[in-house]
Amino acid sequence: MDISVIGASGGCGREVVTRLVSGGVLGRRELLQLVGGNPQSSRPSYLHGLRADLQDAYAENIPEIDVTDDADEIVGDIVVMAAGATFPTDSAKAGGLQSRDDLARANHALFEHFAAAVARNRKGNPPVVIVLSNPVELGVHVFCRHLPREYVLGMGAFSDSQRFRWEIASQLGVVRQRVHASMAGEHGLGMVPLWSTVRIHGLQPDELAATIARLRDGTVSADFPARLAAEHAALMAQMMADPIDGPVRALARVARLPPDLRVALKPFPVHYSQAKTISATATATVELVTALCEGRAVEICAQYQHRGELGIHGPIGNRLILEGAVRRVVPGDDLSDEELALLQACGVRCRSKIREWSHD
Amino acid sequence: MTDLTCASAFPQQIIAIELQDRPGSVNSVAEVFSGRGLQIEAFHGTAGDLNADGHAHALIVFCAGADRASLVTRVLRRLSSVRSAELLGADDPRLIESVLIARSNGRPPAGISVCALGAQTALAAGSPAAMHAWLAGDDAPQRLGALRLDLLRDAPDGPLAN
Repeated sequence: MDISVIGASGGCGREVVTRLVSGGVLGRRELLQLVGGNPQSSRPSYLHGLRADLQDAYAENIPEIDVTDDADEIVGDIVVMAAGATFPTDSAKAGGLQSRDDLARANHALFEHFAAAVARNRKGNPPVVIVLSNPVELGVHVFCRHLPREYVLGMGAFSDSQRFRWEIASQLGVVRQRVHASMAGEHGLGMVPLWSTVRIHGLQPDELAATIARLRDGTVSADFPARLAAEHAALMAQMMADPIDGPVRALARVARLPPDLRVALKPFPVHYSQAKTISATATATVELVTALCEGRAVEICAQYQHRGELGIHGPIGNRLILEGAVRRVVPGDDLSDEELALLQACGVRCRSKIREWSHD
Repeated sequence: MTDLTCASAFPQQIIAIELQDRPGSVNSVAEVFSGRGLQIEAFHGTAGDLNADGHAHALIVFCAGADRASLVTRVLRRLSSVRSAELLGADDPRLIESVLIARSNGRPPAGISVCALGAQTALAAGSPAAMHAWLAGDDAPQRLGALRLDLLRDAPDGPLAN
């Protein structure tokens, strides 16, 4: 498999590239393409330097590394879209540029530029596109206007599901590998925790039910959006009130919340701590890329352009069967009515935002 | 009788490349094909006709659909060992000679010249189109060596021009 990483000079793109190389995901004769996301970049030599540095560091098993700024030269079988603007990490400015609307306006043209170029050159051989850039739902939507939807995935729900598994595992004192769980819906404040999908290796059904009830601490799915909105407002106020120590205090505050709220809220103090969520996102991305490269059939949770599956329309996160490309959406017969209703409402909300962002 | 044309339902494709003259270059090119399940029917390169900057010309013959052939060409262009790669049409005027060693009991068609090498072996030469038609026809010869295509004329403005 050849892999193209768009925005390879950004924080997340560079981390993905480094892990792909250091992890030996690609063979010596496979191509790793570093694609500049900004033709007007003030650092036009950066990717050439990165290539040389990677070759020095991982010479024992280095793939062929190509550098280009030309979207028409993208040749990967897998294309990772990591280019685009992101929120500043200064918590003092967290109330400024910082809505997803702003981000959508900033990144829409970029999504369109790369989606059109990939489609122009790869109509008969579409690559699998993994969108990391935000708003991820808009990215998925734009790429799906140019490519078959089976070939377009958004990383948001994949990362969120990994976080969900970790939050459950850490509270129970077990390793993440023992926990299966999916966090669906819209990346950010529109996510939908699918508690019905939680499985913990070694627990019998009655033990599992009792454990989940303890983790949820009396909360129900239908209340999740309101609880999340309220906690988010309090968290942001806390961080903006104290730009120096606010993120640390916010992390402590988040740690006292139930696992599903922690998943949605923890990335905010992590981001504004200036560490950003690069490692988690890159690790999840490389895990997904590895599954694609190995050709395994896997169940994942990722943003996908729904066309009526489970009554959902729009590019929201959901469970998918992946076999090279998306084969199907996992049937929702194991979901509760509340979860299904939240997903459907999320799809409606998401479509409405996308219409506004993209003027469709 | 051996089928000398591509053993494939897909059309024959020809890519002309300029390849760096260094160890591993051919291997990296071959991996682009083998990694996609494409068989190279013929690979003709020359190190005796290097450009001033050390690049050799090579021709690669394979069978694939138009989309895959286009993608392979684009991937080749991105390799560090390849300076240019161009997908040529079968009727590209720069392809002016095909040569192969063959065993044939029949008479070659018009456009193919044959020079006997032994009792049953001959050197056959002709235009690529005529050679391809002969190989695909009922009187196709038995191939005794890889099909070889020579790029004998450079377009003045093409990527392969010296």
